[in-house]
Amino acid sequence: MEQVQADQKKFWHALVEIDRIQASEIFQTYYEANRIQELEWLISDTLRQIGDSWQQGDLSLAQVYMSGTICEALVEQYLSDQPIKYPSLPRMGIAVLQDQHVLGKRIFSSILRAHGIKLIDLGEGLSPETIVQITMDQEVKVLLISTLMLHSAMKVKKVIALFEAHNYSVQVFAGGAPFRLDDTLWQEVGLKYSYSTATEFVKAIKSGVLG
Amino acid sequence: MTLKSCMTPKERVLCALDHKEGDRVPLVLLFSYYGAKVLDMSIQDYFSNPENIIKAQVLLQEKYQTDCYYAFYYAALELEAFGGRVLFSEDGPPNNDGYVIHDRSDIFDLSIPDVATNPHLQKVIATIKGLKLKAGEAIPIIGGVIAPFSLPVLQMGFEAYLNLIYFDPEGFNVLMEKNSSFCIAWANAQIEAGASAIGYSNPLASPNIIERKTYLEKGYPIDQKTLSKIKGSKAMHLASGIALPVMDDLMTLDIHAVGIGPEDSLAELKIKSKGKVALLGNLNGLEMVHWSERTIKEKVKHLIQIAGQSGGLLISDSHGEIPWQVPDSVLQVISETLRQEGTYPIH
Repeated sequence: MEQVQADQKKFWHALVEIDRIQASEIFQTYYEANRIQELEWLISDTLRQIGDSWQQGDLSLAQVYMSGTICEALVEQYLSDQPIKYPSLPRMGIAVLQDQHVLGKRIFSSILRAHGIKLIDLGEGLSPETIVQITMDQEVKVLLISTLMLHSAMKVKKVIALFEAHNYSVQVFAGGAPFRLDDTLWQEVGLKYSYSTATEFVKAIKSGVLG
Repeated sequence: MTLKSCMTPKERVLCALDHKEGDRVPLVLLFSYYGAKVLDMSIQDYFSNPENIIKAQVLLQEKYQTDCYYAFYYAALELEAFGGRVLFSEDGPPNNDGYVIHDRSDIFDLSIPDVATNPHLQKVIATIKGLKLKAGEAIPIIGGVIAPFSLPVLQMGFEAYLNLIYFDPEGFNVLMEKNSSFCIAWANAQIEAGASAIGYSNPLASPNIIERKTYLEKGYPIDQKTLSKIKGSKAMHLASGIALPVMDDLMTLDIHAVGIGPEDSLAELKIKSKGKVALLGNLNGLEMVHWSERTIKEKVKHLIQIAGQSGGLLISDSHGEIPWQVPDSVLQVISETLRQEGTYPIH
């Protein structure tokens, strides 16, 4: 266990220093030794710590993004043939409301995929009406909305109202800079839950929030 | 009546930038697309004619007793200047519609816009000239540029740009040279047209976005070079990002003020910056949409108490533009509270 914890620290350093080679070497060592469960712990705990550090202002968004994409690539390379981790999860999709900037969506997707959770990419620059239509067409039951600007975040309310008008049952979550800078905004737009980071959301998934 | 009691906005702002106490703390509310709201027109129509911006700036300055005119249109205007497209919405800032750099070769082929002939940039120049006729020497005009280190987010998207920063030094350096040349020419054209100061928007300098180590290695040298060649006063704005961890670094640049974020420690920033650079901010533009009168008064008073002593404070929002959703009543109370509580000497 001590060795795993020591390796976890090294893995953490590799990710925040954006050292893909070092991260891959650690990953490969565990994979070749068939220590898959420890490897999964390595990823999930490191990404959790990185998310927490970002929350506290100790790491940058760039470090969170690069960590997520490095982990996602390693998971894709080494663990894509592993059994699906959460087979009972409803279909989950992620979209960017109105804005074109996809960094938040990418970070979230990478981290969830690194945890073995697949998200359907519904696109970006979408109007509330388009998001609702695509969600229903794809039979998505858990929708994650990424926003960059306040006026986009305010339109989450319209998305929720449109789902209700269509009588379509879906759990809606939203995030992005507006929700981070105004911690009452999630209530104002009619969301039921608020998660600050992808790893917090993963924790909620593991504790059965999505049913 | 003493000179101090009837200062012009320009005198008031200069006092703050010189770390002196004028008649009161300056109020620098940055109205960009918000002007369309007061003129009751669409944002796209608003930005189609410099006369609209001039009219709105005069109205807003008189209405809220602010201490500047703001000639900045929107960040994506620079993308338009580079040949990109913009999307206009009904209640938000115009945003980029796609990018101008799609693969690596585009960086090497990218042409720098000619400020003198580019129609998008010339609209802003016409705006500044028109505002100068209104302002004379009484009201400072703030122009705006996007820093070379931050512009690529609009030019190529955040993801592709992060990969450029970390993994493609040659491509990164070529793009920075081009962006720096453009930024210098664009900023100086605005100064020549009559702008008193340039807002240098640089969110990627904040450790919220890029860690300090990478900023110092990649962004700081280009900021140092670019800012040294821009004439006039400059204020670096981090667009709601925290400034404290890089404040010592930013204060070595050729700038007179730093726009600080709502999550910054005001007290610590005041200690660091006192007598060196002024603080611009840091009322939370998102939260202020639903502030009560009591909250507004508390926030403004707190800001003045913590950061107003010895000048060096210009009260503004934290992001660099007032959101459309902020009600007139909130802005009125901010203005009134400042005039009541922000008079020097501060008690």
